[in-house]
Amino acid sequence: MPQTLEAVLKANPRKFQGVIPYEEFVLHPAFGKEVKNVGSYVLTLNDKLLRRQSSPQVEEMEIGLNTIIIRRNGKTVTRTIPNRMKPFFDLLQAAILDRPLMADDALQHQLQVIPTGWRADITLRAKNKGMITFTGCGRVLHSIGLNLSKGQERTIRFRTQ
Amino acid sequence: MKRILLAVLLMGISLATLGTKIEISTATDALFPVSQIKLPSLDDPVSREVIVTISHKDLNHRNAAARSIAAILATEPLIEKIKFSASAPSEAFQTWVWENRFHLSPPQSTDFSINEMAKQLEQAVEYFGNINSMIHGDRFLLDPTGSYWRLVQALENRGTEIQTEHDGVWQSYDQSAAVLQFRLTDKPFDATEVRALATSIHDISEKEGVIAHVLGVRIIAAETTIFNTKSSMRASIIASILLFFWLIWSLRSLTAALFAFLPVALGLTAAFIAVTLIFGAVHIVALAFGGVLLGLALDYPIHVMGHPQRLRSKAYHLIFLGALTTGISFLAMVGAQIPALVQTGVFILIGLTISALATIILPSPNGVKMRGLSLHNFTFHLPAKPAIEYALAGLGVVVIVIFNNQAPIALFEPPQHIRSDIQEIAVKLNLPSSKFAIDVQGETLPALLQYEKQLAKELDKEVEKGNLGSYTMLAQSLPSNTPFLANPIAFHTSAKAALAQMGMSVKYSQQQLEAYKLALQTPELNLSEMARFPETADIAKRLKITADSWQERVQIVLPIGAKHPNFTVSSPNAEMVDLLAPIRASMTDLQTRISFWLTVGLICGLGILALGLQSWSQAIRIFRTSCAVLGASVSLLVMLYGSVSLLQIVAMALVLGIGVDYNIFLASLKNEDVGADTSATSIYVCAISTLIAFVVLALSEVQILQQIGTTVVVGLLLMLLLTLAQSESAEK
Repeated sequence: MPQTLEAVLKANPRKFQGVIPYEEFVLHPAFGKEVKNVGSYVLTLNDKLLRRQSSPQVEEMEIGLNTIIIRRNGKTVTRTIPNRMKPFFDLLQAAILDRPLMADDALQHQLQVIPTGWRADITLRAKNKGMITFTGCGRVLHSIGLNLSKGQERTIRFRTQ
Repeated sequence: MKRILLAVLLMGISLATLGTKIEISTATDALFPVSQIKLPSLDDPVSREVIVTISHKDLNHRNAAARSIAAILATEPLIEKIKFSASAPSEAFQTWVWENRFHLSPPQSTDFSINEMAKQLEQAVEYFGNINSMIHGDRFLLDPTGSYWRLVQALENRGTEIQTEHDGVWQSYDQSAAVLQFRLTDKPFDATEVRALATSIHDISEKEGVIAHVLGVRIIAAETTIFNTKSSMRASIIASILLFFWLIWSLRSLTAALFAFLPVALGLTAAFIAVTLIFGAVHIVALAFGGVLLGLALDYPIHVMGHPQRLRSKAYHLIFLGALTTGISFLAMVGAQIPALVQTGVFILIGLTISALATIILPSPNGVKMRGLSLHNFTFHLPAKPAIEYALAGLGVVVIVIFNNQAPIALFEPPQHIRSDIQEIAVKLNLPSSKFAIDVQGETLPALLQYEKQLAKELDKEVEKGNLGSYTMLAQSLPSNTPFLANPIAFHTSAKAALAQMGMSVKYSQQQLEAYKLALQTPELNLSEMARFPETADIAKRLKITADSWQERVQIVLPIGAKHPNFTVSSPNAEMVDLLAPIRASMTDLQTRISFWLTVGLICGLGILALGLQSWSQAIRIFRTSCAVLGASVSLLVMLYGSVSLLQIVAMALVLGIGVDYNIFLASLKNEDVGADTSATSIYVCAISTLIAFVVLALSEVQILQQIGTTVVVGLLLMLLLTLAQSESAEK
């Protein structure tokens, strides 16, 4: 089990021929059931992280430092990453790209052993920014979850095959 | 000789100590009376914006070149920020849109039905399968009226319609060029610096194998200023050289020719320094008319040299009288309260007076035998001269009243290559007409959007017919409907039922209710809020909001080559607007003011002339001839150009000044027995000198100089003709 946050972030999801398949589950207090998105993360040659979603909608997202570029139906839209999502995107990139954490991402965290391996709950210091949860086993990262205020959750599970 | 050396020394010291402080100003607002019209300043943020189009038929090549040029320009200290693709809307903007959703896109009554709300909720849930949901969060769920949904969709669709991107680089409207935008740093305008930047962009583009067109207010101002300065300088040098050689030839002496320039140089130095000290800088209009001193004041020493020593005191008296008459006529322009013309008045009065004084104080060379014709011998008999002169003056009034068209409003035309760039970029970027727009008015924003929807139908038909290229209005970005906002209790009831219908948590309706109440409490939209976001800044510029009305100035793009819209608008509350009308009205007002104050100056000059000559009849005769010359000149200019411009009116005052001088000089010859021939020849030399100076100006590429030159040449020839014409009574 990793002993430090840095060690948690060194855990990587499994890659299959350069791609990291994922399933994303979005939960909202208003929903009756969760929404499931499927796709894969891809590391580009120029060290950028792409999220290629295949279901339910086909679209691609290029994650930058402060913006994301979304390509869908031949159209490209650039969006600023909102403050509430910024730590999530930073940690996601840090974990997948093995990037060091930014100074302003200094966070509180709690590590615990769970039946499938380990779990790290990373609490964001700023108010209303929720909590990010990493789960894994050894040096393999299983999932990254974001729990926002008012019961919203978004969990990305990296598929093993 | 001592006095000459002292004068040269004084001029040298003055120029050495104060010369560096002399600044030339091209501020256009100095051409309008204070607070009459607000013209954009070169220091406004909008004036610092620059657009560059990078043309190449290969998309990838031009995009790569645009990126490369942007990277190079990003290191330029003169550039604040460079962009080649749209920035992401800021979080603050997205929050503002969310908070103001009911103002920007209010729901209608049907949006509060349970079925409609359920549909919106279904759509909002599905949206979580969209990456964008990470950005907009659960706002679509929080607003089951669909107001926010419609607003976001409309803004996104319009955004991609307005500016297309390929591979992350903006493309021109005609898809033939990549587009860069940058803002110059907030520092005082320096024409040389800005022009160097534009040149470097062209150079870099050439190396990249693409064609660049650069456009911006400061770019146009820099190119125009440098073009005007260079052309003016060239015209001044050519005129000076021609005059110099003419004077050497006609005065038969290098010393006499050099001496002729000394009073003018002293007058110009004094005028420059005085205007700089009083106003801080010399306006280019004052400078252009100030150059006229060269034509007028050069006559003084020539005329003195044409007199034998014993008759010079009389010549001095006439020279001083002539200078004072012209100077006072120009000084009257102070009354017009137009900063540039106030400067011109002061510049000419000081310049002429100092030149005249210098001519009197400095010892003119004696015994100069002038080469040339004696105008004395060219006088001819003109029957009923007074009647003809009255008729010519009357003709001028009739022509002005009946045939004079509106003069073009541009005082400083940019050079040809910049005019081509403006046309090229206007087509490539589909820039809206700067001359026509359509004003639409409604009591509220929804009412405005309703009227715009009606107008859009009309405009779409004109687009189909080919009478209109395109148009931009708020109704293209904001959905319009009949607004309805249910009371919170009714909203809550429907929201609960819709959630239940969708099998969702009914408890969530409490959060929806809170969000609904908050949106209802959002204060009314105001322009300053809209203007602070780059996404809505352009819209804010087109809007005018008052307590009881919303007005938008709808931009239109006319077909290529069309100067006027070939159609009218009949939609309610919509009106075609001539955007240049206020400037044209100001110009007309300006012309009236200038004409009035010049007339006042002329009357004052007449008074001075009468006092100086101690003869009202002689002064009135000169005044009558001057009015006839004005009338004939105006008629000729209207025939040539279709109108008389502002600067031509001011140039008329020069014609008067020159005319008054020649009239009094020639009149004085009648009483001279000895040396009258040389004196008459001196007037011929003066007249040719003036003609040389103004013919060079008339041939200049600079519109302002061309207008002054043509007017003075036409006026001067007419003045000579009428001055040489003798009436029966005069002959007797």
